[in-house]
Amino acid sequence: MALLEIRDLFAGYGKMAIIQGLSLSVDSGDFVALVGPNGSGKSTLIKTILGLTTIFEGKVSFDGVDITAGKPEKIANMKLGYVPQISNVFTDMTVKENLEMGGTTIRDRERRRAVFNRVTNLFPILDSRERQRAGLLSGGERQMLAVGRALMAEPKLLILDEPTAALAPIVAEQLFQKLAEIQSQMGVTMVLVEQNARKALSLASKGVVLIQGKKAFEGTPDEIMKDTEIIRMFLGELTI
Amino acid sequence: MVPTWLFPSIINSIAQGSIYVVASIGLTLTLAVVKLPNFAHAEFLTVGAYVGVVISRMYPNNILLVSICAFVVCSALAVAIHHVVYKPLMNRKVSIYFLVLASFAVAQFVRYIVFAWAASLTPNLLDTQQDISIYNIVSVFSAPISNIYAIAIVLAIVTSALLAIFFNFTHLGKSMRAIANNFDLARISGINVSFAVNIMWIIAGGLGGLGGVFLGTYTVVTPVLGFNTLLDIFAVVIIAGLTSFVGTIIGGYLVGFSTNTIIQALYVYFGVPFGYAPLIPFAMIVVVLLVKPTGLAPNSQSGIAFFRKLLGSRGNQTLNASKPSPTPQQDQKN
Repeated sequence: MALLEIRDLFAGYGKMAIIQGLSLSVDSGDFVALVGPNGSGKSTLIKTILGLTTIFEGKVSFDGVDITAGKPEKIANMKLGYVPQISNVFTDMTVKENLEMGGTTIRDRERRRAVFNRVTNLFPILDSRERQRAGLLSGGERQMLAVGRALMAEPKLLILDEPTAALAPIVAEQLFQKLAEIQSQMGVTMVLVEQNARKALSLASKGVVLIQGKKAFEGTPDEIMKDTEIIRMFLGELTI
Repeated sequence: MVPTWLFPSIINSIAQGSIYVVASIGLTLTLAVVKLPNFAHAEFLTVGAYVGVVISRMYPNNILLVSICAFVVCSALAVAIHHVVYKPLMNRKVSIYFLVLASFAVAQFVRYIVFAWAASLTPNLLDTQQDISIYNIVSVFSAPISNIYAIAIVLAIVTSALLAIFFNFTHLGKSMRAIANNFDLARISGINVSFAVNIMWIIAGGLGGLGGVFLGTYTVVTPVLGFNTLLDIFAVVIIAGLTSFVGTIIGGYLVGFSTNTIIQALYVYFGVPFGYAPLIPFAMIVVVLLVKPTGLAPNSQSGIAFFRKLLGSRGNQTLNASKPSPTPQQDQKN
């Protein structure tokens, strides 16, 4: 059984359907790179999974439970973590408080403490900045906090929406390394939405190309990189 | 030579400022957490004052019982209004303008319910008083301090301290700050937004009712008691920058001083009649909006650091200091 199953989904904002009949399944342990040009509906698809848009048709299920148009807070309680592209930390709260808010769904205090230690071990910078207001962190630190906040809920599936956008290349590279580490060491299934498609595909076990709200291609990263049409339309002529 | 009117006036200002703080904190919370300028907040004061009238007639001079009853009744009223009016509108994702208009309608509705009820009694309670004795308990620099003023000052301090502890050291309080800071992120972090918002209304309504009790102890209680105080309360939260908890405390005392010591000084030195006192909060609103629309709250890092140190807190005392985040309605639209 797939961890995340999307069937014939039509979704969007107001009365406008941006996602047009999309189906997708993500298995446990997958690292899915969701790529596509600007305006292809990547972020809308993610927000739809999280219950933040209007679903016109179709079905979304997570871990065997139908979450179609479920409330975001209830979906979060099912261990589905999300790192939004922007506004992804509580800027007026400290780093420690941000992580605490991420761990809201863990009731046991000891367990929360253990997860907190694991996250701060993964991102030592968060430990040293725990009393600092999140709004005062640098872009890279803020993204690490956003990922750390999402990890605090011990998610089965972690969805990241362009986490390296607006980051310096060296910082983006560090973040990619951390994501690979999270996936390999913590066994978290991941869906990564990324503008840097080549980098995302180099990390992923599966790639999905979205164009105009529809799934244009799905396969292994190698298959995508060998598809001359996709390369011509979206990735450019360079090869990895 | 210190003028003889000064100390009594300062005592009055501090006491009245304390009542404004208690009465206004609820509105600040509402603005911070659900982004609603709730014009019906003033009616919590009216209902609280009338609960004071009813309970004090059964149990004269029992200010503790009166306060508890007013808190409970106004909390229940606030939660009921939220579930009957605001929440259904928010679920329909209406714009903030409709919510503000709805709050006006709720205010009118509650006011006229109170009016109809007060008028239906024999003798009617359209112009009444609480049965709570006011007497001087101590003098400071020959300025008498009444029992009610002393309780109001202590209440403001205790309320502020408890709320500071609540927001900085409890998970629920931090959750409210998270909702105030970033509504969507709070939801996707698994924070129980509905529960936190209900608790917010309990605190907001309850403190409004408490403010009404203390306002009603030294003024005549009428169905427009809250409405007449509406401008003062909004002056307090505008001075506070709408969402700052610390700013509300500052704003409460500024308005308290403006309607007592400042108008008295203007009268003594410039012959300005006391009737102009209500104009001062209005002038303060205009001046603050023109000169510093973000309010007078200490939102600089030094200010925040000072209060954190004072409270031993690791969090930001301000509910939403840096910038107003989108309304829940706007967030849901995005």
